[in-house]
Amino acid sequence: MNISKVVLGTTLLSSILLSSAYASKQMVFKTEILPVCGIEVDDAMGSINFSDSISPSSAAFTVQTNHRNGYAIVSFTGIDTTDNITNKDGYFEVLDKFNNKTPIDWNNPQSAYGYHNEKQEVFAMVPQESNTILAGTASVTTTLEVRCD
Amino acid sequence: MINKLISLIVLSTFLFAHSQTPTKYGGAENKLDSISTKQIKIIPITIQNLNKYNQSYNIEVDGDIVGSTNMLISKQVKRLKIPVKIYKKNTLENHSVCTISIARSKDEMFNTKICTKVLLYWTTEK
Repeated sequence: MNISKVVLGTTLLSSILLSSAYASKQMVFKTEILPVCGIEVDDAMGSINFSDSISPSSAAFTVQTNHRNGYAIVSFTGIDTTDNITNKDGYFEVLDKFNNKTPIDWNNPQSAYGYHNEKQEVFAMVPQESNTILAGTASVTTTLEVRCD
Repeated sequence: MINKLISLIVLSTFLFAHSQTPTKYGGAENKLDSISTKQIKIIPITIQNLNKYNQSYNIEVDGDIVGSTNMLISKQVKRLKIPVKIYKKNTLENHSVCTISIARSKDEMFNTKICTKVLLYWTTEK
C-alpha cells in the first residue's frame, strides 16, 4: 500500500517536472509589424483632356498600405497650372476599379480614397474646347499626399 | 479647327514611389510614445525610396519644410530622427511629419507626399 503511494507520488512528480521542463523550452517568435504607407505613381504620362478631346489620356497611382482598413486618404495639394488653363474650371477625375469617378476641383480640391494595391486612374480635365485655350504648353502639377492613419 | 496646342502634362514616363513608417506615432494605442518630458520630442521616421533611380525628399513638420534628405539610392531605407516642438504643457497636441519627393524636373506632374500623424503630450510631472 505504502509502496503504491510512493510509486504514484513519484510518477506524478515526474510528470509535473517533465511537463514544466518541456514548457520552459518553448520558443516564442514575436515581431511588431509597423504600419507602412506608400504610393506608386505609374503611367505618369497623360494629357489634359478638353471637351473636344477624342481619346482621353490618364495618369495613375497605386496606394500601398498594410493598415487593416486597407485604404488611405489621398489629397491633391499644391495644384499648379500654366496661365492658359488657370481659371478654366479644370479638375482631376479619379477613377477607381468600380468605375466610380471622383472629381477633384483644382480650385477647391477634395480628398479621395486610395485602396491598397489598386491602380487608380487620374484624368486631368478642362471642360472647354481646346481652340479656346491660348496656344502653348498647358500643364498641371500637383502633390499627391497620402495619409494611412 | 485643330489647334496646335501642346497639352502634354507629363514628359516623364517612369514609375516613382516612396513609403514611410509609422503612419501614426503615439495616441491611445501607444501612450508612452506620446509622452515627453521636454518641449522637443524626437520622432523616428523610416522612409524608403522605391524608385529605380536616386531621389531626395523634403522633410515637413507641421506644414513647414525643415530640411531634406541626402539623395537616397534605389530601394535605400533611411531612418530619420525628426525633432518636433510641442507648444503647450499638459495638452495632447496633433502634429504631422511628412516627407515629400523632390521633383527632378519641372515637367513632373506628381510629387508624392506621405505623412505620419504624431500625437504628443508634454508633461511636467516627474
